[in-house]
Amino acid sequence: MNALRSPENTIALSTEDVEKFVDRYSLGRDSGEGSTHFLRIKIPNGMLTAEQFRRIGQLAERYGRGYAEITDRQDIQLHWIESEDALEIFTKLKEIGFTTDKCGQGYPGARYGDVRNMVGCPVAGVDKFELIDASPIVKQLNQFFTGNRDFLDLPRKFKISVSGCSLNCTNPEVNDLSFVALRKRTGKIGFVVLVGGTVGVAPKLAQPLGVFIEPDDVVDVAKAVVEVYRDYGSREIKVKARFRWLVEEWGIEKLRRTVEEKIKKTLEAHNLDYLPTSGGEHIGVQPQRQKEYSYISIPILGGILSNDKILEIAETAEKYGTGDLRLSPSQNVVIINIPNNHVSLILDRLEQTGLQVRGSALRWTTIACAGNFCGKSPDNPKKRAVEIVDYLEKRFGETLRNSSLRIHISGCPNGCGRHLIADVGLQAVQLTVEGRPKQGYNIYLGGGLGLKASLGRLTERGVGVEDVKYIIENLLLAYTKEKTSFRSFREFCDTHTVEELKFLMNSSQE
Amino acid sequence: MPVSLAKSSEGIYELNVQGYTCPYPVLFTVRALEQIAPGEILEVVFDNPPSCETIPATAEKHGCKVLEISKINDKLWRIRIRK
Repeated sequence: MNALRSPENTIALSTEDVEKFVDRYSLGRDSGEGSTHFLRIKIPNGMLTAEQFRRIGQLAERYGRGYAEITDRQDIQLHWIESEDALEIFTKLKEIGFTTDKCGQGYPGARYGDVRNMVGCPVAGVDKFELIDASPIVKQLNQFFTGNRDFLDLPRKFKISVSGCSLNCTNPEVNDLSFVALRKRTGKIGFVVLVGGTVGVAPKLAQPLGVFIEPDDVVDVAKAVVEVYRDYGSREIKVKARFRWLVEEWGIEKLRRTVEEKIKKTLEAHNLDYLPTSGGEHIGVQPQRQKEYSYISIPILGGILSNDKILEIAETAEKYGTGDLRLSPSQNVVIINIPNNHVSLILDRLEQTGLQVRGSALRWTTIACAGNFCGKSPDNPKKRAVEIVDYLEKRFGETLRNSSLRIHISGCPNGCGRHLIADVGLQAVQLTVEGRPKQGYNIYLGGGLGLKASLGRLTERGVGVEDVKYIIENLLLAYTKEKTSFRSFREFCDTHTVEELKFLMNSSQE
Repeated sequence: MPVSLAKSSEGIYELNVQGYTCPYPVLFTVRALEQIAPGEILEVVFDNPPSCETIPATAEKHGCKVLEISKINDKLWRIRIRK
């Protein structure tokens, strides 16, 4: 190591090889399963090639015990990362073409927040029903914000989504800033803007900014909104520093005026009280816009992948498709550009490797956070997700095949598993039963996005972990009996009082 | 801004890594330890809470002795390490 001993009694460390990574790469803090650090690899719009996926799998094998997770922001997360391996890993990741979250969440104060992975529709460009392929916009946004020192010291993290599909699968209402494609009656396609959403400890659904913008204006508007947050967001205390608080303090009018001043443009007013659809998932095999091709969405329950499965998916995508893959905000993997005549063969092949591509829709819609690693959860939400879905599939069989039910599981009130926007939301809690610690879940029902978007209602507290699946079973049985009266499970929940739902979930419906 | 070691008194050096998230405080600490002589003291000042655990663990892995972990204020810590 070369060091320069200066007359002023300082030693300049040779750190150029380290400094070049500082603004684009970091490790996050883990506190569970024997892991002290995670690596959250940002995959903008969830788009990657089979080769990139394979190489990330190799990183998982070499540094992360062969284990990887897809997050609900289309990242890939590895655990058991050692600090001293970081430079080697960052070097490889740079070669692969990705960066990481800045992971400043460990700071006690309201600072060092960054713009998190840009979420976009995983089937952008191939979806038969999309309004606009918004992935180029996501890439532009990513290019602008990644490693941009002007935006690496925000009061807290900042989450952006851009939705071009008809399902609005990017969960716009729970992002700090969302752009949602809309076709006006005139046929013109642009974006409406939502601001101030979050599902953390102080949850809030995003509100419309009341404007309709051209696709070419998205980057400028995003830049202006994030600047507003950077310059005016509270830095006093961390819990009041998320963007939602500034939106609440300022109000929509002031925010819109300030954004317009910044971009030197009056935005077209557009009133939209709600999104007609939102938070859907592209499930199973679907025909693409390109007639001879289909995409196959592979359900990855809890987003958990082994290195072997990563390699298998990568190989399948290369052998039968164009080697293009996508990650979804519901923690699944999509292989695109599969010739229609290969679909059955590929489904068989994937199934043989343990990927349950012919399972119920619950396998695609159920998500769970990595609570077992962060140290804040008394239970393992991903493991619980697998247990619950396996049980419900056995119990209900074909009835669940095309169900739109969503089960979301978070390990703590921070809500990384987005439990508040699911039909059935589970949040792990520590209980004390007869003086002994016991794991349980609080149960929230009837949350959802889109038309009449609302957060789930806390319906039952502290259900023992072993009983959760039976509680859901009882609810589903009650719903099935009354199903013809309701358009969805959510409507069923909305129609019943908390007391009625409590009664139903605690009564055997046989 | 390059990171540097400041000699605060004979045999005692300070490494200020405020503003750096993981893994950088650990990486800089390792480099700083390479620069000082056995028996000398390194004081690392940082504002990244996970470093309260990772710097001592790494220092010990490198055969050093962690003398003290102290809180300077709500957002700042200091770790004293003897090489």
